[in-house]
Amino acid sequence: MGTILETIDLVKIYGSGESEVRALDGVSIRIEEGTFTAIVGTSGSGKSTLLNMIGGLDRPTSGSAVVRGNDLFRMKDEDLTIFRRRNIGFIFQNYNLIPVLNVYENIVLPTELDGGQPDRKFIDEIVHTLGLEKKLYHMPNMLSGGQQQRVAIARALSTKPAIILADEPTGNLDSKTGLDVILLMQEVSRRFHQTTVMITHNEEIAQMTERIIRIEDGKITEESSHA
Amino acid sequence: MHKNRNQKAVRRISAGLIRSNKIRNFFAVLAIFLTTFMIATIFNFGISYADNYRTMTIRNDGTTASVFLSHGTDEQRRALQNADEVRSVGTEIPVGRYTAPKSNLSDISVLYKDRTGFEEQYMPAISDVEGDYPKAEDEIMVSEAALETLGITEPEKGMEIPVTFDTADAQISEIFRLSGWFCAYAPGSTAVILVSEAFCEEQGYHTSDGMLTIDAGKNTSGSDLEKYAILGEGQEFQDRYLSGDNTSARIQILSLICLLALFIVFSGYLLIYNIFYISITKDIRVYGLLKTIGTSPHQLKKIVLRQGILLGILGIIPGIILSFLTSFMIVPRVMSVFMQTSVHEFDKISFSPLIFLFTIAFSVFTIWISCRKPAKIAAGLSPAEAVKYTGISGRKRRKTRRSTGGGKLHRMALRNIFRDKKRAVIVFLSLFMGSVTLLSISSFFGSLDSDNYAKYYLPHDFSYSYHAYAASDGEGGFSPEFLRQALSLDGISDYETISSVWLQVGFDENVLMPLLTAGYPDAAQDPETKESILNTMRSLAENGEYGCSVYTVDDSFIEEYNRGQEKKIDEKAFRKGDTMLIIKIQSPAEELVGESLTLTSSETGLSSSAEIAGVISSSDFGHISSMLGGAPEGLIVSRSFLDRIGVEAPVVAAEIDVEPQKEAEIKQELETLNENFLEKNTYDFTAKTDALADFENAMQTLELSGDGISLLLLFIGVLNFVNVMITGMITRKNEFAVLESIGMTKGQIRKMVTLEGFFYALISALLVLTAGNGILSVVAALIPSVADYARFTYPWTVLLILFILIFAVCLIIPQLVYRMIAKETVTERLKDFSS
Repeated sequence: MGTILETIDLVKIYGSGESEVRALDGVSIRIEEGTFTAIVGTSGSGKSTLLNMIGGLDRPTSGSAVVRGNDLFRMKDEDLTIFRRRNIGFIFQNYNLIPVLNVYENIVLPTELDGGQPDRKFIDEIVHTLGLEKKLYHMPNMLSGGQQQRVAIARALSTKPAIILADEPTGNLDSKTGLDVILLMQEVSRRFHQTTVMITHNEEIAQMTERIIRIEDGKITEESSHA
Repeated sequence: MHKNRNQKAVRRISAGLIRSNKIRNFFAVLAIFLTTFMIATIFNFGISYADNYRTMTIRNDGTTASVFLSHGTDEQRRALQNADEVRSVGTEIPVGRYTAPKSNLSDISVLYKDRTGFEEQYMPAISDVEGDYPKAEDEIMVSEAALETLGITEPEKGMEIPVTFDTADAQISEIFRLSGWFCAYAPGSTAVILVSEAFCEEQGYHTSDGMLTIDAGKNTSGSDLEKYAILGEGQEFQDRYLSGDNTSARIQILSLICLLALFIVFSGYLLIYNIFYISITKDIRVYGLLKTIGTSPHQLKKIVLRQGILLGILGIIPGIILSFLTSFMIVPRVMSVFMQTSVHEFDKISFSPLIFLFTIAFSVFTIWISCRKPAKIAAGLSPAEAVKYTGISGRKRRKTRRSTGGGKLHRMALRNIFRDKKRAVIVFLSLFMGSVTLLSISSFFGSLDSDNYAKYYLPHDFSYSYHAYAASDGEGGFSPEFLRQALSLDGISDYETISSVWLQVGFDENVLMPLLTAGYPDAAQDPETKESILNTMRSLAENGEYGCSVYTVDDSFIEEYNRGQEKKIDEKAFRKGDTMLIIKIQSPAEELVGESLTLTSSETGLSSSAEIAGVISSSDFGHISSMLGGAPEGLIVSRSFLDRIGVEAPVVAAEIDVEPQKEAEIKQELETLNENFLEKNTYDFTAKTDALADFENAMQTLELSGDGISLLLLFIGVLNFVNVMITGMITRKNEFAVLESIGMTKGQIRKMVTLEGFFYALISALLVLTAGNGILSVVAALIPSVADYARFTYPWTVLLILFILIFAVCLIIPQLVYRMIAKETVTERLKDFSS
């Protein structure tokens, strides 16, 4: 098992002078391939900022993030986007499906944006795992929250990314549905040997992952592995 | 108390919503402003047109009276005054006539009009009235043309004017004092002297010597009034011959104006509706929240309508002001195109409060229908729904879509366009309407091309025509001496003359029956009427009064006639005088072809016959004078025919062609000859260059106004697109962020939104090429009926420019908006979405 993601002394400062906020204050973490990791912190702890940095959605004030040996912040915007769509899958709290596309089209969109042909067999497998067979041609607004989140997971998986980043994936779901989604993510992580990093403030959900990184005021306070 | 508190809250919320919607406000005010401006301009034009048209017809007629009764008694007058149909009854006494000392001055009619006749019937037909109607015996009021005849250039109140004129049985020579003057317009009676009642009494005139002038409105004729007054021996109601009343043309223009107004209201509606619809959708959460905290649906509706009204005030007022400013410049010029300028100076616009009312009513109506639906949406949504409102609502929400290729950029672009179908349809409609109006108007004016006009109406460099009815002797033509000099000018390459003489037509009932039944439709129905009309005609014929104008033409005319004819006539026979042509205005003249008519000159008493070989329509011939109902409307014979009966017909029309380089010089020489030889108002002289310049100038004004309106309509369409694009992309800000986060590059997004613009343009263009061309073909079919010289030409250039414009706007705007949005980082935009 090699390291797939590494951050080195990430610092992110918003504003300046009096109103300066250190969202990240020298964060260095390392994620191993094929693991399911939770980043836990309270609101305002910097966990979302960290996830955005790892995903290349935002640039740090200093420090670097390396995914599969590529330093994200040395890339140009265009290259970063392309790198992102090939290597990083996102799952958002509010699903963020494209409303004009049906379920299938949403799932294969990242592949198609990259000009590639979707791997039909692989997609079928994902769809089957996530129980979306009967919903393939539904439009997103016809699905329940849990169903939409499952589509988002399928979309994130579809490019066989190096890493999936999930930002409070159960935040908008009731606890039962949330649990189902996490179980699915666990299953997916195991079955496809998929590296997954999830942000949550929910201790119970965090406990279902293999490793927990705690963050407080922009600093890593504790790391623990279990399961 | 309670109610007041409510209103204050509503007002505060409306104001707050207005403040927070700056882009919406800008577009809404601009849209209302443009709509109001166009509506006000159209109404301004319409009402000014109607006003001026009415003035023009009345001036042309010289009075508002429509029925006349000679030697009307006081009893008859009273009876008529009480009739429901009658608006006013005046009295006019023809006192005498002043013959002009020189032939280029007008002869003067000396008249008395009573107070009603002058104030109610004559005043509307004259202008620039100075002073008052004469009271004292020696006072007179004189029209400008009469002042000219009398040699007075600077009239002054009370100035003494010696006048000598003839009455029916005497000559009066007196020194009068000028009590006032005015300008009269009716052809043939521009020169008038009005005398006082005292003068009439002094001269022994009674009201019964005069004529009752009756204003009974347009639809009442003399025969309708017979039931009110018992007529004496030889008395008869006479209807005025309405010369200048071209109702159908007026209705055409007015309905065109209404159509245009509706078009404007509709495209204004499309834009304003879209703006409010979008802004309500955008603020839907706010409305939901308001409802949650207790705002009633009624109040919510009020909040939306209030915003509409507030923005409306900001748009309507400057719209009206600008419209009046432009109307000052444009309306008089446009008006002069539609009116005979000789009768009326069109330098005034009507400042009717009606225009304000109409405009405000139309604009408010537009705003109201535009806001109604959005207000309903805002009021009708439950708070919970409001939070989830995505705009992809509607009863027919799409549940599934069996496709797998939606992720392609162009497919996504297409789906984005139709994400809100209503919005998309409105944009297409709006772009389509602007385009089609522009194309229709420009092809319309393109077809009224001056070359076509010249070919049709001005085939010759100069043309003369003579108005016998306006001449002092009521007949005749151009004098031989004038013609000799005018036609022998150096540089004239060719000329043609037409002569005319009135000849008796041999009354053969069997041959002429088609004309008789057409001229007197009652006769066809009722044998008794038929017999009485036949008797009248027979007695007319016996007295030598049944006949028509007979024209002679140069030989070249008949060659030209044959060129346009399928069945050619024998030119040789025509030239010899064995055949003739019959003129058709309305009568079934063609039924007489093949028949023979005998024409007799009252002057020489000689007769000759000729066969009718063909028909010529009056619009192709163009020289028509008065005619007798039931008789041929005109005949055309060769000179040798007239020679046969010893008649020398006076020349009534001449067409002159000149060597191009001599044109200006000859024009000047002809104008001098006109001045020296011709009686004023008895002739028309047209120089092709002047007429063309007038025409081009007039067309330019019209085209400019038309293009202006259609460009504004197009602008409204473009605004609608821009508004939809901007608001659509701003609401999709987060969606773009999501797309970026899952791997769509900025380049791909830019490509996608540009494709959206491209599809908007493409679909609009396809609509224009299909449905738009359908509308254009209707325009093409209408054009010949608008003007006979008009030739439809497809507006290729305009179409090309239009498409370039639409594509440019649709391709550029999305890029600009995206650039604006994409400045923020993905996370910032994602955050916006979550909050």
